[in-house]
Amino acid sequence: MIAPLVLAGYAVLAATLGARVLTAAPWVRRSPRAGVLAWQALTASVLLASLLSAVALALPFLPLRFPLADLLGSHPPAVVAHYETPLGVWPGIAALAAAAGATTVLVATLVGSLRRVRRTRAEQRDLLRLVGRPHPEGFTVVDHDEPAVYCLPGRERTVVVTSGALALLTARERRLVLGHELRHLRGRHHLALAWSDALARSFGRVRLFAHAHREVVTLVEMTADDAAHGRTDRRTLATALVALGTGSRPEVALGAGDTAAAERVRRLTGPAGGPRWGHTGLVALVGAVALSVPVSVALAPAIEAAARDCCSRVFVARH
Amino acid sequence: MKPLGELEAVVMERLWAADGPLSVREVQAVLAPDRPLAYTTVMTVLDHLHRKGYVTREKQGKAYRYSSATSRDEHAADLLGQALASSGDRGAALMHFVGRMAPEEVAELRAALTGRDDA
Repeated sequence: MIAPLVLAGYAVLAATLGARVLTAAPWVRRSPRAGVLAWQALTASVLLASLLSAVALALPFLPLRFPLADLLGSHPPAVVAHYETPLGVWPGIAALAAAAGATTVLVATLVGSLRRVRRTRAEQRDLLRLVGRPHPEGFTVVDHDEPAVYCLPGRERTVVVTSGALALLTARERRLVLGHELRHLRGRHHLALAWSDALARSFGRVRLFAHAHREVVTLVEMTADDAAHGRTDRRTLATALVALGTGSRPEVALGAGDTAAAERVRRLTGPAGGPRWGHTGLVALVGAVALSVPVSVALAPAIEAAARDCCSRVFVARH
Repeated sequence: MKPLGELEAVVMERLWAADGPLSVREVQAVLAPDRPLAYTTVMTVLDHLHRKGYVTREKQGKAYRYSSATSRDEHAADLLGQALASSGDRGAALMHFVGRMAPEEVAELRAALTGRDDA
């Protein structure tokens, strides 16, 4: 009975307090790659805790109780006794229904956006074959006045540069912008974006996920910006950002403005902190803990049951 | 055999360059010096292009004559239109180097960039 409450409490606390800590932490902007990992670990931990809270609440009538009791060398009734609620099976049924609903929404969102992404990319590749021409530096040029640079991940991945962008950039800027896009492609940043986007879309009312997606979008760009090393190169990339972010024809600019762009320019021109790769290892460690906490909490009553009810007998039987 | 997609681009190139509609035989003939292709191959490619809406065709006598439905520039505009439209929900399909910056920010950032150069 206690475990589901602790898990739900942990989920709420992690979603609010964890998000606040990560938003304020200065190292997140300095080591954006570690920052992405931290946001992924936080959202996964919250998701896992919520899911396990429902499973723990429903365990008394889930078939899972048999293998669980087996695994711990205990009896199903002893394990179940530690998960039963005074309200009977109804809280478990309600929680399980909610968890199943949430999972269905998430899977449907993922499948839907995967389809949309595939279609968009197929259309892009189709049109690129017709109007794109290869540049000796390895990207695809499209004749269009609008200055734009973007990369197309997946099969036949490529970087697209319009003639308008080529005219705007110096050779050095072009090289750095290309380095930025290649880092997106090599790092498979689109996967991180697809996942955080699906969470934000599926659970629009949970502020954590929308916030995490916004942060991941920004941090992924900063990770790619860090392909530029050294004071001069970073300033040059910042100049390219402003040049391309201004564009030429405002009427073509669809969608929302780029809110991360100014922050990226300030970061690139600011005092060089340089990414600290040690952060990534530390975040991976803390992330692993964040993921194992919900699992431990969910299992605690079962382990307690096994210890209290059966340990003496198992002990005797083995010796 | 070359992938069909690449041949589509080559055939479109010729249709854009042509003065008027071309028959399959004529497309095959203009391609022949660079790429000797079978009549049926050229026909298949043109058929694909027609299905995609990239070319229009009219029957003249027994054979169809093909012409491009949209210009190269229009295709480029389509491509960019789609790419820029997706800049709103950034991410999964394609990744932009930078979106549109807010004008009031641009002035400030430009000043910051040049200011530190002078210092």
